[in-house]
Amino acid sequence: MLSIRDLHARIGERKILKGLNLEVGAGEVHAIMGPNGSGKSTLASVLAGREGFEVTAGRVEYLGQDLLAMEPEERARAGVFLAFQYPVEIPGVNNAYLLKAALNAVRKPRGLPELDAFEFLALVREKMKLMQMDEAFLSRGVNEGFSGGEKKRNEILQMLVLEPHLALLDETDSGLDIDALKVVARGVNTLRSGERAIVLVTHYQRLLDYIVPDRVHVLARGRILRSGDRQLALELEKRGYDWVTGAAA
Amino acid sequence: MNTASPIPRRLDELASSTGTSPERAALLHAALAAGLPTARDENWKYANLRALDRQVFSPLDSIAVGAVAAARAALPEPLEGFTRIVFVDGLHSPELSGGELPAAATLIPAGSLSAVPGTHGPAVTQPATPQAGSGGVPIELRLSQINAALATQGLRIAVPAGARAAIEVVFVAATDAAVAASHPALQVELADGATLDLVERHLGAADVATFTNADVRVQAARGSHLHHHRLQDLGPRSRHFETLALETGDGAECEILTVASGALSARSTALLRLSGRESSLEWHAVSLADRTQVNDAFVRIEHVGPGARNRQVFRGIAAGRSRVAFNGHMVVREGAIGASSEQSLKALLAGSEAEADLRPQLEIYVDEVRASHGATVGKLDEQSLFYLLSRGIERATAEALLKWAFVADVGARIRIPALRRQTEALLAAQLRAVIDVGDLR
Repeated sequence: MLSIRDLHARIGERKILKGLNLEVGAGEVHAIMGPNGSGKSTLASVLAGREGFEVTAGRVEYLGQDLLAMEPEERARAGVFLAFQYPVEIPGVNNAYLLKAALNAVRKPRGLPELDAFEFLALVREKMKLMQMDEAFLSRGVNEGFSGGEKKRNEILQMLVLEPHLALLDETDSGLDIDALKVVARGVNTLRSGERAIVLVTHYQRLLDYIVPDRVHVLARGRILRSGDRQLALELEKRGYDWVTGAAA
Repeated sequence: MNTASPIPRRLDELASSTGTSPERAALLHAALAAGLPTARDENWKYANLRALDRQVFSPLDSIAVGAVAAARAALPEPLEGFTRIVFVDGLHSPELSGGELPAAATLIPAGSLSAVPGTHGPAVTQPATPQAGSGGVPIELRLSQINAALATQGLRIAVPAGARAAIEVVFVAATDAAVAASHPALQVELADGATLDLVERHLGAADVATFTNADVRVQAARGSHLHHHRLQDLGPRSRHFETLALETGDGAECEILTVASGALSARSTALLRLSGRESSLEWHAVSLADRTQVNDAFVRIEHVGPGARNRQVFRGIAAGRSRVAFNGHMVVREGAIGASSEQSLKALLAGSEAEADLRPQLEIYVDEVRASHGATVGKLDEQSLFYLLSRGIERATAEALLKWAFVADVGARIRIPALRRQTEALLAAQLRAVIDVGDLR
């Protein structure tokens, strides 16, 4: 589903990704781990098409398409979803409006009709229940005055409603207490399916207790230095990132 | 009906014309001697004052043929519970107004405007700042003075003590600026404890290049309540000037909400005096400009009486090659002990050649004051834009949503549902938004 080859990216003069390779197949859950500043969030941003990141070399293929040639909104409509590390607040635009506009935007290229107000509400209510979110959130401005945990839940709610083919979760676990982490993990787990891929970017092993990955990769110094299964994450927890980054030095 | 003033005249011609009454001629001479505002005058530098002295200022004596039909087409849906009074080119149109004038309203005949006692108020007789020219009238009020001299008809709304009224005054400009100018004149008096819901609109007949010089004076007596909505949506080739002078009595509460989105160039001057003890003023304004529009506003709020409160909020968006300017001047006079003043000015640059000028000014002559102010000019927030794009929303829609979000707070303050819908639709259209604003609330 996602094939990244020799990806180089920089912000300004600073080179962040330096020849990253990654293959993610349909139905798989991959965890990208690594120390602070290793390029994890840059990878998520480049895949979603955030401005300010310059790709200087390499290719990213998504469902047979050249992902890097697509605008951010085209990527979203093609089924790529990024759960933000720091979701923005947009007072004046309410959550319901954003959700509905986003949902209709991704349904169109899938050949699905727009949902009417009742169908939409029924769908959202069901997903909100799963995320243990109060319906009052719908009429509030996007993330306006939400706590850190509420923002992260809202990201996962959007993901559940939009049902992407490729979900990128950028440090979704950061700032969550254990109860919120479980709710978020349950949300993500309901999306696991044979035709969907999930890439989790995380600093800590903790999230992987609840969302068990098929593959674990260690990203450091702009490249994947080591890949393995679930055991690799546990090993990292015990031995620290130095164990990988030091060994590769 | 025929147009009774067929000869288009400039100010100097009007002043020396034999057809002008001696009182009017004296006012015009005084204004001309003192001089019209120019870009060199502090507080006028962002306005479009080009060739003001060559502008046709002569008013019409009667409504021009065809103007009523053109004006009718420009009228929005009536507001429930409001009596509508329509003026076309500064002249009352009984045909377009909703029947008889309400009890609170009377027409003021030509030439009597400056003679109405008390309506100028201290804002005129005692200049707010020592900027009075040789004419004795401060430069901010010079166009107001010209309005008083030239308005063919004015409207006086006087709400008696303890009474309530809801009135919509629509000024439609329908005649080309090369033929005549429109001088809308409105004088509002709220007696003790009176309540007035006032909607003041300035609209234009489709595709006519008009020139308006409007003047509004408000006296809000002790314990009165004013909810004043001011909407300027003139045609894209028109030129608009307006002056508002307001004075409050003890404990009066005024809320003024302004949405200015029309005209090729518009200048709004507001001189607001909180004279009474513990009176309050909420001022919320939105200015939108696109293409080559110039939308300039100067608002001076003066605290005179003790314990008065005011809040001033401005949100402006400049797109295309337009200019949006807001000059918010707050003065706390000696004796205005315990004044509280809050100012928040924000402008959004939505075009690479657009210009936004915000100028917060604070002048305080007393110690015991709470005053805060902030002014920021910025572009659309990249993070927010990316967030919306990453959810599959088209770029044009995402940008419109963010602009909408920028001004939504002011729109949300409109408590008259139909007016709010109309205003939101107007804002959305001006933002060229492909968004369904009905769903955004």
